[in-house]
Amino acid sequence: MLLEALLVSVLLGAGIVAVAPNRYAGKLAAAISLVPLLGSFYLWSAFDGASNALLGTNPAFETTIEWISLAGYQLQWHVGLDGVSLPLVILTTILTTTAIVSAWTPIDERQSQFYALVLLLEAGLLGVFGALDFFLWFVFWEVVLVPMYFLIAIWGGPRRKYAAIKFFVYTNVASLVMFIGFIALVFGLGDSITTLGLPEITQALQAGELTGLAGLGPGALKGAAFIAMFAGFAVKVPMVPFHTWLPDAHVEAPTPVSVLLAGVLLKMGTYALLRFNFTMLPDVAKANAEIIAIFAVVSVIYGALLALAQRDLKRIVAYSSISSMGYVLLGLIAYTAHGVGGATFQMVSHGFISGLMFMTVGVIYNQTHTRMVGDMSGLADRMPVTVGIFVAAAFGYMGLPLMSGFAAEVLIFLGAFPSTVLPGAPIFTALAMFGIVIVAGYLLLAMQRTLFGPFDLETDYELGRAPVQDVAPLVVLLACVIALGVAPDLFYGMIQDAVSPILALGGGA
Amino acid sequence: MVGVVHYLVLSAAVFAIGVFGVMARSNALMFLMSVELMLNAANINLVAFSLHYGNLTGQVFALLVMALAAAEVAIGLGIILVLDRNFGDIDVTVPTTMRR
Amino acid sequence: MTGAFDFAPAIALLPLAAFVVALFGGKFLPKRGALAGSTALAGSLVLSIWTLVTVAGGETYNADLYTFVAGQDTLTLHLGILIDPLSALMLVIVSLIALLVFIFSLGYMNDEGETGLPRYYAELGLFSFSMLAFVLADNLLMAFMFFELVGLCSYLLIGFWFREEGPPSAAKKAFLVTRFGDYFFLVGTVGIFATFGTGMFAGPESFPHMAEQALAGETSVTTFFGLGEQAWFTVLGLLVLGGVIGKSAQFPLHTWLPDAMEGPTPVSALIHAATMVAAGVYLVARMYGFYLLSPTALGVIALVGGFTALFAASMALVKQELKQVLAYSTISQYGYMMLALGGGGYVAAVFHLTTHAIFKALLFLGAGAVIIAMHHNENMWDMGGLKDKMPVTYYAFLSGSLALAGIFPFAGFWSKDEVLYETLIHGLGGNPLLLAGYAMGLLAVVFTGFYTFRMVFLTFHGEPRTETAEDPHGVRWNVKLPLAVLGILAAVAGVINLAPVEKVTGVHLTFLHDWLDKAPDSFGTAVHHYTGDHGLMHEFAGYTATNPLGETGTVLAGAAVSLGLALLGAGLAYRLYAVPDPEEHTDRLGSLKTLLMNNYYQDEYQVWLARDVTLPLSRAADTFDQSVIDGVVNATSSVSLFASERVRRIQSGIVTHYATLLTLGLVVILVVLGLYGGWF
Repeated sequence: MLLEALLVSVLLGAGIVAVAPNRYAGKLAAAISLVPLLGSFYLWSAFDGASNALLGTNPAFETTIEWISLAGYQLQWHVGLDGVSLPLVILTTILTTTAIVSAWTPIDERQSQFYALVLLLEAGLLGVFGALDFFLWFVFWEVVLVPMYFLIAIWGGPRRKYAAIKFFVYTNVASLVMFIGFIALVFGLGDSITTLGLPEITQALQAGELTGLAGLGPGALKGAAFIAMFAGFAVKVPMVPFHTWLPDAHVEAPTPVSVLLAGVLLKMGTYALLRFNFTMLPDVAKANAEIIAIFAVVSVIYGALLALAQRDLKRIVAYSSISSMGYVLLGLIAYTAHGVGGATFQMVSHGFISGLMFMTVGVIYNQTHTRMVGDMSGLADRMPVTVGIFVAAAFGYMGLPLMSGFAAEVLIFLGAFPSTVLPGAPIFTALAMFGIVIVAGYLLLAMQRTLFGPFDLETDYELGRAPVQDVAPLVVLLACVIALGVAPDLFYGMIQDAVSPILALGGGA
Repeated sequence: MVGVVHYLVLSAAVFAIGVFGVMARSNALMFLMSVELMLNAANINLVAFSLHYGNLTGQVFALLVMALAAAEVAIGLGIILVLDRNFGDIDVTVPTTMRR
Repeated sequence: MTGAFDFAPAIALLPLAAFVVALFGGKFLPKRGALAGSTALAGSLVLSIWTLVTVAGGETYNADLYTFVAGQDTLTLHLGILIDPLSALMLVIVSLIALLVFIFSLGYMNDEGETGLPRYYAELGLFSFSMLAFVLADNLLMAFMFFELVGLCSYLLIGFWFREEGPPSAAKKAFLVTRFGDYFFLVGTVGIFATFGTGMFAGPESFPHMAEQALAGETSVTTFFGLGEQAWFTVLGLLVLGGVIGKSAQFPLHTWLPDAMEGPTPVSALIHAATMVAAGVYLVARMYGFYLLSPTALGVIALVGGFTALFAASMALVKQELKQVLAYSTISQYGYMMLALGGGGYVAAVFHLTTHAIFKALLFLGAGAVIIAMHHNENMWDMGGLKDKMPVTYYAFLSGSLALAGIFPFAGFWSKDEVLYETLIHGLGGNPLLLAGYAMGLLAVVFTGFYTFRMVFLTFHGEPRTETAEDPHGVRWNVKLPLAVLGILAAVAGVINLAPVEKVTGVHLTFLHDWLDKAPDSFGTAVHHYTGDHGLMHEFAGYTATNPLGETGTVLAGAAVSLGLALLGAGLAYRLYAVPDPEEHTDRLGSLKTLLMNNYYQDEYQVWLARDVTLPLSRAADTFDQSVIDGVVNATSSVSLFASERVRRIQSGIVTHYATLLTLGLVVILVVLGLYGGWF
């Protein structure tokens, strides 16, 4: 019941914050978000799951309660964690607390609603990572969209309405496509399942219970469902060419929301890809490995090239997220221990690093009121600590050893290179690796122009040092990045436990 | 012997007149009367089939429709009054503010 | 019993502690963290020497210390320590020079009133940590990790004066160009792990050993793309070489090093002359057993090295700034080391690495002293006549210059001569590539002699050409001490491997050879395993040595030729520049001068690649993204909006129309139902 306690505490907290006075809402929300934070650390210490939640029998912290009976299916309240979802839960709680603290400075109107929505978002995210029943999972999946829409549309930048609607419609249409694909699979399984539990569906699919549906044979049905789900999740990841909502949403969203958007929301896409496409339909994935790898490589290189062309710091980081998510896809399709494990590790690592990066840009924006590369230079002179963290974060993004990005990327590369599932794996890996050169190019260029050189600022604001409350979350996230970079085994052990059963699925090698 | 067919023809004719009235006349009062005609065409049908099948349900429904028609007239006349007040006319083609 | 090896991790960790102390507490410390750094490096030096002594006693060490990633049924990644004669020697070099640079920095940075010193000393400490850890690395992945970290430190230290325009730009370039090389290194590393399942450098489980066994047909390994084993090993070796070329500033990735001179001079001495740039060469030496299996890779190394030696030396001929001359000279000297490695001269390469680290650090520190004296003016044409004003600097610098030019009996003579000799005999053994490398290396000797003494004469001799040069700023003990130590070493360090003398007199004098041969057989890193009679060089690379004039004769002839050429260059410099009022003379080169001053337009094409190819490409991608991909997304919404706009016109607001539509709709439904229901 621990997971439920977390969820309830966050939801209750959201309610309390919603009616709290604006003046205290930020502090109160931060205090409340400590409950799930500490709770998730307790989960980590008490974690005993040793297998994949969809394939093994005993996820940790599992609860199953009969809920609704609908059209011959039992819908259950079924939650549990394994080595893939627990790190993401911890990522969510840490990022939420730091994002709330980092919002104290920039959010200066309707605070109570803002923090209530952030907490609601956290609840949705925790639910997505914890749910093991499809219906429940889908409810949380959609719940996440609602607070995100309002957070962008109310507290966003000048084009917030456009960005918010684009985000909402795009991702919602994608959810629909994915939903159709998944439900087709469920109907295709016919009477062999009685619940919509993800483990049950997965195991039924592995057992070959799939019959045809609407004139499609099992093979064609699998293929169609795979495509529908892949397209649906690809929007969320986002993967080229479904990525264009992301830069708009990031640029318009207030910084703390960008942190959560890049840090956790994108991981929903890759998490779902891992859970659904790559665990439930491994044979389809393996048969089309080259095509998926092409998506991955194009995302890496094209995303990085786009980042190189941007002049807005937030857009740079936004596009580079697309690039980093490409590595995840490459690791997943490799179907090797380090490939899939590294991809999962990259989800967590990129969550911390991109969150840190956005937050740092936000701190600079709070002081300068501009994010355009050409509008400022030599900031290192005036805000040395913030700039120092910016440099550290940027090098983390470039995959500097002893920071988490390096561990994640090198594991993905080590896993992808010898992959026997993916024909021509060394070529794909080597192509994707070129991303590490381009990422260095655009980050170093942006840093040289904004942080170094003679001091100059085009806006009319006095530039002072950032307040402690802005810098403290940065330090926390940087510490996480370095800790995971020095000791990846903090998470990597449990990740390997969870992903190793996936590798052998679906035949092939 | 007057069979059910005769009633149906009558009903259809009354209905058609009502439809024509709704489509062709723009005076709100004529409009309202045409609607009454259509309702009564339906009533004729209900009563005729009630007789035909020897079942009282149709007649009960006819009574219900009459009550409904009365209510409709009451509301309709109210609407016509408001129309006259707001637009200075009872031509139904004039007010198009519902379009947006 | 605790021995030196139990403290080996501390060699690297002490500077890391200094980094932390200087970063967080530097503001409050006397000398802003310099003392913490010096103390830590002194500790590292003592431990390194202890390690060296222990290795001399015949002990070695090769162990994993920390599990970075524990693989389940798959690769496990470790951080570990490999101490054999090569790494022990390198540890002493690095910690010695780092210590001297810390001391020198007291004079160069603290006494000059620089700001941001805690940052400076923290970064210097971090660099020392990374470099020492790189040297200690027992596997390729760990080597790569610290290879990248020294790159970071180099970036930070080049950009130390970030308030100016130049240094941040140079820092960016340095990191980016080396990153480009590191890309290939990383691909190679991943490939080696995929092929052998390990990245260990030494021991029976190491990848050089496994590759050797695979070629001998004893085991088999996974290769890719259907390549044969040797071809695949060549590919892997060349990929790793990419990183080496980037870091050791070899052609064509050498362009960052001259720009890196924007950093403080002590940094140039430590990072961009003696240690970090040596990392590439050290890496090749570290996995020499692997390169020896591939004659193609060796040929490429030799050719790149020989060409770089000549190419960089030619650019040094016309430079006007003291540090620029030294920068190009550094590139050139690392070219020699690569030439030696490619030519089968393992000992020669390590020998030259050692002596070069000493004399080039000396020259940079000497240049630093001159720069202090000249109030940070680096143009040699503004100097002159400094000899009498700063004698300690002059004599130390002269010692370093003689070593660099390769004049008997200074350290550089012995090592450079051995490099050329090894290349020559293996080239004559039937390898024209090596002969080409040798010819280029030999020609570079003349250039080296010339630019070295041009530099000396312009800086120290003649009459002062500016007011600053007439009344230079004095320097203190903290500058003179490192210069004196290195000056003496530059003069005498050659004694560690007097191969020609041994050949002539028969007295055993090749101590470095013996030293490097001390590695136990199980490591597979000993010299006899590489180049001995039954070593890999003969078995796999197919190199044979030919001495056309007999061994002694060839040695002496080679030495005489290279010494003669060096003296020729030096003499030419003496004639042209050792006059009271020297002229530039470079105009006589005509258009060649323009070419040399512009560094053969190497920078231009690389900048062109970055600025005029990649950036427009990215802009085009952005335009494509905004117009086509996002266009499709927005078009979808536009089409829906447009269609709904059209459909909305039915809603005229006139109630009669609605009634008509209702009726029509009913009729249509009836007709359709009728048609399908067969009512008609």
